[in-house]
Amino acid sequence: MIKFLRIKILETLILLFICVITDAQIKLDSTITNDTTDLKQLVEQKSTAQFSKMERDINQDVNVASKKTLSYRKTPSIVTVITEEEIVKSGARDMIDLLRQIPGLDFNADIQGVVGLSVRGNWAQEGKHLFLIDGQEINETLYGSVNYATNFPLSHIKKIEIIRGSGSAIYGGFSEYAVINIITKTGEDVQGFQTQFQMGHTANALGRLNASVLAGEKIKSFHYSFGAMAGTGHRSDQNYTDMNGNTVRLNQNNSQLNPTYLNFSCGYKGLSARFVYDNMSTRTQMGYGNVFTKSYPSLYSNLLTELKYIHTFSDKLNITTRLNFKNQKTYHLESSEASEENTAFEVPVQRYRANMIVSYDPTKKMNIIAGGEIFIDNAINYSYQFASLNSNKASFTNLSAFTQFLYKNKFITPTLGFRLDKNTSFSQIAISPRFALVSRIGKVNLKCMYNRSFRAPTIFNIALTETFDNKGKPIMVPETSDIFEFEIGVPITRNSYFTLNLFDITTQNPILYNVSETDVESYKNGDKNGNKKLGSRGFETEFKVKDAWGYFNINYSFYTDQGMPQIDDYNIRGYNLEVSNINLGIAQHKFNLNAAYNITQKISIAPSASMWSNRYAATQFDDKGFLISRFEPTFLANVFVNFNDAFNTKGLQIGFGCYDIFNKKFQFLQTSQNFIAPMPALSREFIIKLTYNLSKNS
Amino acid sequence: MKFKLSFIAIIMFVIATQNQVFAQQLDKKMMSLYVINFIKYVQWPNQSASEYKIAVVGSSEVFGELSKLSSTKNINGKKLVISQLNDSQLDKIKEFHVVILSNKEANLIKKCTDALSNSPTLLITEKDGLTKKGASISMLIDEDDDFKTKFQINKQKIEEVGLKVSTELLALSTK
Repeated sequence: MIKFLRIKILETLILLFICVITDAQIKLDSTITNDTTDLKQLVEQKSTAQFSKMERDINQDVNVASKKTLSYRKTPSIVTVITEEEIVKSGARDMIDLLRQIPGLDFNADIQGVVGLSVRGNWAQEGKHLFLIDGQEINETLYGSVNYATNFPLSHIKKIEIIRGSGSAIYGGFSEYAVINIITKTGEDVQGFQTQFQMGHTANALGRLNASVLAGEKIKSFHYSFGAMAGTGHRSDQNYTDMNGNTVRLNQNNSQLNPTYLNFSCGYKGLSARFVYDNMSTRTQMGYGNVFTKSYPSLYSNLLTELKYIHTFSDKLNITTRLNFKNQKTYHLESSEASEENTAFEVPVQRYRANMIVSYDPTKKMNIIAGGEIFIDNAINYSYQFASLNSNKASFTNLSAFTQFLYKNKFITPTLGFRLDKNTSFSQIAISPRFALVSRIGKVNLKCMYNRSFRAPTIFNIALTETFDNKGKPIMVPETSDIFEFEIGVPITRNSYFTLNLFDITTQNPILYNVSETDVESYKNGDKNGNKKLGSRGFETEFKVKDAWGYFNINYSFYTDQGMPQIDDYNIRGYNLEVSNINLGIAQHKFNLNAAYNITQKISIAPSASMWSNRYAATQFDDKGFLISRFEPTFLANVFVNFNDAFNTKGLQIGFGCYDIFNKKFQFLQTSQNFIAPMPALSREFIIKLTYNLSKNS
Repeated sequence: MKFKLSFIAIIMFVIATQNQVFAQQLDKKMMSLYVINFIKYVQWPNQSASEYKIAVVGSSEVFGELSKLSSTKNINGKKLVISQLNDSQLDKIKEFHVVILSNKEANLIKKCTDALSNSPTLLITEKDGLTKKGASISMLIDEDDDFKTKFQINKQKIEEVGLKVSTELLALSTK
């Protein structure tokens, strides 16, 4: 399979070299006229020269990696940007469809039907990656996890910026391995109204049925936007077999996903406010270890608010002040719905945060950012006492200070930064330095980066720790990672761009989750055998073509834990399998392809595909322990056809698609030796999307 | 092994062919307006000529744009006379107030500076970075500043040949 994959990648690259010969270009806006003869006006004019779409893409502004807007090729991280055009044309159904196309990212199974992210061969679900929507932290505060489901309307997204690598120096404790920053359309982008209806069906069940609206406007210095979505659907329509061999069909009300989403923002000059309500009401029969005898509701809800003020003193100096409040429920099961086999879990948690950032440009090329942050986490456990705290209440405070220096230069752009975090839950101060050099030799872009990232212990990490000091105080030290990265980016033609990046990640004191056979949760730094380090290394490569006919992206990612320290629970060493240098649940080789071809100006067809090499996961538990099974290479193929201005109605979009065309029935695998059995995804799904835009911009 | 070798070969090919891609795309209308402005901000030692003679070396749309402008505009009461020269006519460039070296002929920079010697001629190049090789002014597109068209000035060279450049023009140039 790997040989086949290699040959196909090579063939595709060679073909693309031959085929990419056209130079379609876009004309930039300009107001230049023969009468514009003043030199001061001229130097402020955009060139009306023609640039290819790809040239625009690799020079587009990216903010996520440095808090200072830099072009994609100069930003000091390994960054991927998913544009609105790609989201619309791809027909992606949900965030999983979009993010699994990013090299190095994949999805795996968590408990109770939750799907989480893995990054570069490492399970990144619990507090190891940061998920932001319009700057609002979606990670729940009890465990730090994110439940990837159907909860965000993709039609509201303007772009997604993804850092593969640490963001700790800027974002703190949830951004150890990656940062995903969703940016929705502003009032200025919308300037009117948009609505979308989406329906998907498999052979066995309703995949999804949801409707969304988005409205917004900018009137002089005032702007607002309002987005909402409601829907229903299923996580799976397949058979789920637990670790003891019991099977249940998931096409009824036992794998439901029912999202409700609101996102309102408004602003006047430098002052803005945002309110996000993200509620995912689910039902699951996938118990830990055993299938439940019936399905149970499980709630994941986020209520996020922000008040932000940007005070601009001059072109060189501004101060951003943010006040945030977050109220969340996660894995929530009301006592009235609970039973002996699935006990109640009612632990609402709040985070109060104040953050201030000063951005100063002493010269046009230099930027200095400095700031501070305080947040307070409060949780009340209505279901049971936190074992290590002897209380049902938990409260932790975190103080941070951070700074970053960036010097823009034509030849080399160094970025130097660090962050200090002190949390009442751990005695040490966490130090997260970052150092990056971005350079350009000819047209070749080079990036070289080092980050020490950290993951702050969350409420449950502390409250359920297995480790105590002499006085009986719970001990948990922050998990840290040293991440080295190198990237080369090369424009092959004016319409195409090639990147190759290498990474090396070593994590110290990993905070590991464990649930015993009797459902007792616990946490500790390191595994039961005393191993306190893990890591991966590998590379990701991507080739992108963008032109008037559409776009074509192909990428390949590889990781290994060969020569890296390992945690026994996560890897497959000791199982006498044909490979030993990979982690459980995560394919060593992954290949993605996504493209869109504009058949006419109004009709596009978008094929996409993902291919995973062999994966391994625990499938049974008996007297001898876990049985690790091999999952053969999986190939998922999808296609989506989009009609713009359908039926000669301006603003009406109709799309049809088929996901998992060959009905391969993908399975999300768990990434450690535990009692979460492989979780089937939806089988082949046919979808239809109807979108109507009534915008002054169109 | 074969795959690895092919992969390395592709990367080497890509790097080796870098000069062929991302050619600087100047807007020729803007370029011609810049030229007119440069003339306004530069003083020639002999101001008695009744016209400004401008030569474009090599094929460039700037020639057409300047020709159009010359029919409707004059600078400081003087006409603009636009000529186009090829690489065999470099011995004539001394006769011009302004010489524009087209992007396609950027490799002639050495010959141009040799031909000009210390003549009071403003040598403008469409290709960026040539101020380091003796050009008076080089145009560039700043990809980091929203693709704005900017220019670099070689002040020392301009003054060496007896031209005077205004501080305002220097202030607006890119380092």
